[in-house]
Amino acid sequence: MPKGGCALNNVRIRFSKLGRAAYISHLDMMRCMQRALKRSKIPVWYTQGFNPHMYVTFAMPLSLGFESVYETMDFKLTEELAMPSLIKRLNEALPPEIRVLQAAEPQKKFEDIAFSEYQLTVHGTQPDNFLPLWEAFIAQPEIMSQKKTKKGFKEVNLKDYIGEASASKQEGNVVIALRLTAGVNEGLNPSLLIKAFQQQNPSSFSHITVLRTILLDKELHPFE
Amino acid sequence: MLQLKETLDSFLTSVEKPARYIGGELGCVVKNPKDVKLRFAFCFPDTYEVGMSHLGMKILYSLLNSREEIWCERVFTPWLDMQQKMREYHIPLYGLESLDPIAGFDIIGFSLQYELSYTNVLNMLDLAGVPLKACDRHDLSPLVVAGGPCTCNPEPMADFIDLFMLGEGEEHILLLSDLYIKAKEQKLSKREFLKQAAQIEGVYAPSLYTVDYNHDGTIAKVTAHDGAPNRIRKAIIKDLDKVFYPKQFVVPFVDIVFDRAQLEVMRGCLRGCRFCQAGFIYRPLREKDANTLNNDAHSLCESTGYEEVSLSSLSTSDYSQLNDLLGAMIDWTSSEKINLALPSLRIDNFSEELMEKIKRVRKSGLTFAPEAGTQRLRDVINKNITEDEILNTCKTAFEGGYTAVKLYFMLGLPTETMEDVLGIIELAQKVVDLYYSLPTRQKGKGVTVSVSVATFVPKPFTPFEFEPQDTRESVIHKHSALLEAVRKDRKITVSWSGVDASLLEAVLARGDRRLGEVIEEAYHNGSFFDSWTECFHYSTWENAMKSKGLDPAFYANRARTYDEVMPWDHLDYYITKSFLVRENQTAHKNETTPHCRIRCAGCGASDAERGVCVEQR
Repeated sequence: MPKGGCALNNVRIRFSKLGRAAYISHLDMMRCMQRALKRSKIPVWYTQGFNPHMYVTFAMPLSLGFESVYETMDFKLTEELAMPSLIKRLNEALPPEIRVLQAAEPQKKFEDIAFSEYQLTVHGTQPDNFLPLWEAFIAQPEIMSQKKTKKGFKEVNLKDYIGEASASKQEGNVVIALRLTAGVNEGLNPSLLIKAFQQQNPSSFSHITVLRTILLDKELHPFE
Repeated sequence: MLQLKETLDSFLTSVEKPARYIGGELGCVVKNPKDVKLRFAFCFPDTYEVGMSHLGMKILYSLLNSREEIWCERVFTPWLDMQQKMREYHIPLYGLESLDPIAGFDIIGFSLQYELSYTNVLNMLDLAGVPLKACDRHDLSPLVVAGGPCTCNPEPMADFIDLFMLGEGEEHILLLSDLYIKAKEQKLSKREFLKQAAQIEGVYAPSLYTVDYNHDGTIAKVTAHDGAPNRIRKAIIKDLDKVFYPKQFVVPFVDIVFDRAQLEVMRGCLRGCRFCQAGFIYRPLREKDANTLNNDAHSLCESTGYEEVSLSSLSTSDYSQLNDLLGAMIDWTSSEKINLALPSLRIDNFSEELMEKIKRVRKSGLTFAPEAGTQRLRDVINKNITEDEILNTCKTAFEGGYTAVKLYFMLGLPTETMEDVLGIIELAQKVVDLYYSLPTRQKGKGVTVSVSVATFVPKPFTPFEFEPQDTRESVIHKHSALLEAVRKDRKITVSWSGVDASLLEAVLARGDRRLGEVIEEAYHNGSFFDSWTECFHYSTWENAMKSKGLDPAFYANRARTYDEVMPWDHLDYYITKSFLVRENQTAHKNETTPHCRIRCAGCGASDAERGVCVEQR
């Protein structure tokens, strides 16, 4: 049995994953965080049993290649620790492109997550050509697509998942603000929407980078 | 850099495990290019997962970066999907730290760990946009150097590499770097620089030597020019206890082959197994102090956050302070929940108490390397291990709950007969019988014994450097005999590695400079990643040999006389030819040679006046 085996506080950290860190897969991210916690010597609770390991959970896995300023990870502490000190110690132990922004006791459950917002940056396009294409695309009553579910592929209308999808010109680039349904059971990955757009408008851009900006509950309050 | 990052962003999610190509890991060193005088591209000619597991690279990376004026970056061979994308998007091979093309670096250094990675060296130069041949690179930069065990016979790669670094790198890599910085300031010509570099101990400039051949294709003589030494002696660290050891490893995001803190406990080996090149070229055996190691291990675990630490060396059970070291390490590893991974050790070296503690370490399958099936042949190869010892170890393992044993053997060893071949299966059968004879075995659970056979490859600087490799036909015949013998028993499985790959390895291992053209031809015809079965096509090599008028059998299957001039005879690894001849003769008399601590066999390593050689006198 590990020292100080009883779990005291639950902690939820919010962190960013930017630049090169976008290419760390979900599984690798978990290992990276566990090693960072180990380096930081923060008193993290380990699972009990034959093969004790650090217990960490992530709210919404991020697709490979996406950046984010709203990733969360939960773990438990075995000793009291002031949150500013926890943030500082963990940041010292993390690679520079992963930064802890916030740490607090969890307020909401994973099941409360209802929406995820993204900022898409379109590369290799002429904004004035692109914007009308996007508007026309979003204005369609139906955007049918094959979506992978637990029971295989299913034909869905992507429009059912879109809360907001406004595109604008910013510093010569096209930036799209998206709010999509998200959650433990049902949600839409923005890459499906990008793919559908690309199919309807081939070679209208070179590539799109995605940044997750926030996770929200159904009242549009931040997931904290 | 920013521009390349944006191009990478446009396709990187479409290649497998993109984190391998982008850097940014914890512990990687980023400097300002304006603040450094020398940029070093440390290239490992295999995938990220393989190269990142290599301890030597970690040591030299940290060492070079510990110098303010040097920036060393890591470079690996991109996997096929990434290579295709790089060519499609016109991205030259770049360093993982800066994402800058390595063609603009001062020194490009390769680690030559195995012969089948030679084509990857050409592949990487090609991807970098650097001319493959040394004679086509006229400027001082980029200078292409190579180190690692294969440099004990680097002749097949002599066309492509400007300087080979023989022996241990920690000292001469810095001497070379300093000389380079000076040469760059003085605007020296490449030729002039090579002449000066050749004066550093362990540095071999192949272009300063010419090779003459006899009519039969053997070597007549090797001649040094421009004041280069006639014999080049490998570099050796003066005091292993004081040698640089990294305080920090680059901690990868993706799962690599050996993803843990590694600790080098000693260099060299005292066993003298006659087939084993590593057993000779790293002599003499030198140990590090247990205290130093324990401290290094602890700080390395703290700086990396690794959940596992392992001891690394040849024949770790010969480390004389093993009990002290493990005793000290077990204390903090268990309280910090760090797994202490041990290599297969001889169980009789352990105290009871230690055994108890180590039992907590998770069990993996037991592997064991008897290497040969009969005692006679094990004596020939000087693998000083008896059948009783093998069975005793298996017994302990079975009693401890293991039900799977993996046994490694070699086929085609010198003097091998059919009796020796079938002896492999007889030994495996004895292990199976032993399991069923134990009353303590787990009820209802069967045993599996996996026999894995490799084809023996004769290597330079071993007593078997004179021996012919067994022919392909003979090895294939022996494989069928093994299968035939095992057919009766489903508890034993037999597997083997590719015969053709071993043949190529044998050609390259004892090859001469004429093979440079063959390697280049094979590469141009699509050979690279030869050590990956899915990429290896022997026919490409066969055709390349034929087109250059060379015969693989000349290199692989020909017996060499004791007085033949070997392609590597001008390289001095302390091991004398007279010792190798003596050992070869002893082998043919089925006799063994005791290890260094029992009696000095006079191999020549005592000339270095270090380690086990001075321990005795």
